Amino acid sequence: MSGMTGILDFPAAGSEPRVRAKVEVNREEESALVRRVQNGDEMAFRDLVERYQSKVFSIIYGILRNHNDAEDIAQQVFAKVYFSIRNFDFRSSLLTWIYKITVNECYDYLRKKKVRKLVYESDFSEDDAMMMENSGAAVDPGMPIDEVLAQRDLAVKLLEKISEEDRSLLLLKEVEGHSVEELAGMTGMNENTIKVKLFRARQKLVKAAQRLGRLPGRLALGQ
Amino acid sequence: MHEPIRSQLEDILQGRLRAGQKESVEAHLAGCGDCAAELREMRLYSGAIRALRATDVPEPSAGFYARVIQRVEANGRPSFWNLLLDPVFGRRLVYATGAMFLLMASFLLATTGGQPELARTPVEMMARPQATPAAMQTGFGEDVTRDRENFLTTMASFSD
Repeated sequence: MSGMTGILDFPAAGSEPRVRAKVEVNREEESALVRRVQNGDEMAFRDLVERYQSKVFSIIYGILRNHNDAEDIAQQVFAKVYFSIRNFDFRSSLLTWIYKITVNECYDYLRKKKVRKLVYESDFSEDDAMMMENSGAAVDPGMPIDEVLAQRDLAVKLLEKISEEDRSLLLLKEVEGHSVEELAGMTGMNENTIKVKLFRARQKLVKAAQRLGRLPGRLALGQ
Repeated sequence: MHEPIRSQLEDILQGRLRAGQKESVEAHLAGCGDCAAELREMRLYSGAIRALRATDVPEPSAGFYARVIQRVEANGRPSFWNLLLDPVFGRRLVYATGAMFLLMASFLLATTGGQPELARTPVEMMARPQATPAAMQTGFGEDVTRDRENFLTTMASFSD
């Protein structure tokens, strides 16, 4: 069984870092806030922006790693929220809904500007590298910086190849660290449905990687 | 991927298997190369996505809400083309065009339908039954149009 460690490299239970920008809102309070915004209450909209701006910023920054882009896209996200909130039907949580809008905006931006390479190869300054080395909690601390960058680049590219729903679900799971139970509560689906959707999304990622013909550093190095 | 792995995939990827589960999963993977290979890839891409976690995220700069409102106002001001593409406006435009067409058609029918057809030549006029001298002599003043045609016929045939 010792040979299994290469295949089943189990992370220690509970070791998963929880780096979510906390947005603690109960559903009733959230519904009341949404209804006020739907009725044109500008103070409620201000409240919504202030409540979710850090979260939106962290999602965008995680994908794009550029403060100016994050600011610009965050503004666009909240403008979309303002115009679309009438269509919010309370089936999912407000956070899940805003999360989807945010991720879609990021990918629209990447598609329009064709900056996928630029994000990690040209815009990445020494300061960014220093900050990443010092912060490093999100990834394996021992991982070289160029490998971290290669992984991020690969993740962005692979996520681009799958549907919006799959993409949001995987990001909520892996980046936000939500459990299957939490995702079920947030999306209004049952746990089995979430598990099946996650499995299919992961399969699509594998196929997308095969189509790209690209493997990240570790695999390429034979680990 | 086989059921024993698929059903516990999320727990496997999170490392949340209990002792008994872990052993049975390892036993399956030891005998199933396909599952092991697929799981390895899934774990790899799961890790790649986790690398997107942002740490030390900069906070939005001061005045962020004001800039959001500026963006809302800018996006809310519709351009001429956006107005045309707006489905509600487009539907109203179609209704208005239809109403205008109906109005114009009914106006044309009302104005041309009641007009008597005038004879173009004296010969035509004389060929008409009411243009006989007897008819011309009776009922003068009752129909202005007929009187005018009769008068013109008389004038045109005067030289003959």
